[in-house]
Amino acid sequence: MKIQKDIENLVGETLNSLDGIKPVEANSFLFGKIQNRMQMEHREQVARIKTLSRLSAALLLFIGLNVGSYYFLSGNSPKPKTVQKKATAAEAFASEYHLTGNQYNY
Amino acid sequence: MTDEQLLQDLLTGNEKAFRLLVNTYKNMVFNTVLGFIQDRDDAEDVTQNVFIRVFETVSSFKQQSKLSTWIYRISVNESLDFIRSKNRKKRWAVITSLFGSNNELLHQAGHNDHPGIITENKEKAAILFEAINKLPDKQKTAFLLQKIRDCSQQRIAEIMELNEGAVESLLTRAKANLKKMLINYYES
Repeated sequence: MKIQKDIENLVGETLNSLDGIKPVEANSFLFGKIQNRMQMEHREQVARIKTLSRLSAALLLFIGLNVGSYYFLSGNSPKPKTVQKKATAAEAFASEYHLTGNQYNY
Repeated sequence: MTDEQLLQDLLTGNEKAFRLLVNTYKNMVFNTVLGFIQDRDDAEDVTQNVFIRVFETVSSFKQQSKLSTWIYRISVNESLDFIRSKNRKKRWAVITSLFGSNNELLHQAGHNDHPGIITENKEKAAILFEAINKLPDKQKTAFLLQKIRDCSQQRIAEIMELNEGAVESLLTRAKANLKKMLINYYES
């Protein structure tokens, strides 16, 4: 019973331990610190934007070069000879067995 | 200078007005934040965040409440955000420490050493702060604004954008929860 009462007293004292709390003075150089931080954040933001724009430009250049080279190479590249050969062989076979016309002599 | 004049000057980006705002409200903000965070250095960082936020969002302030109420609101939100981010870092440190990373500093328990508490109450206040930190955000905010800033229920209601009845209920629940936690602490 006594222990219970002691605990209640302790709880009461603990709950009241914030009574009479004194206000603490903020740093007198707070404004200067805020200004420095804002300037630093501004500089960092500018640097981030610059880096981002450079990266975007590099990416665009990379994509442009890839697309350009694809069209350039696909337009100028010679047709594969093997296809031509196959076509020629097929034509030769067709002409040998008279398969080129659509008239038939039975 | 009235709040309206100060706001007008702030909207034009006037540095003198911002300096005046900081000097007028710095102790109010710092002590509010200190109540939540209980660490002087962290509280100073969060106080800086509060004023930067005020400067950046002053154009969105609709003047439906007093300037000081709005600044109180930002202080509370920034403090709660800081605590959440710190808890996230602590959880992450626990996870990474399982894999052998060295995060000893993050594992150190927060020292609840509020510089405004009288010496004879320091030990008990540290125990009380440990319990307060376990309360839900709304109960914690209402309790701290009353205890640390000596705000009336009406003022707390304005800051938290609640009605007075809700604040009274929050305070009652906060005190009951704290009592329960403290009884458990002293019984163990």
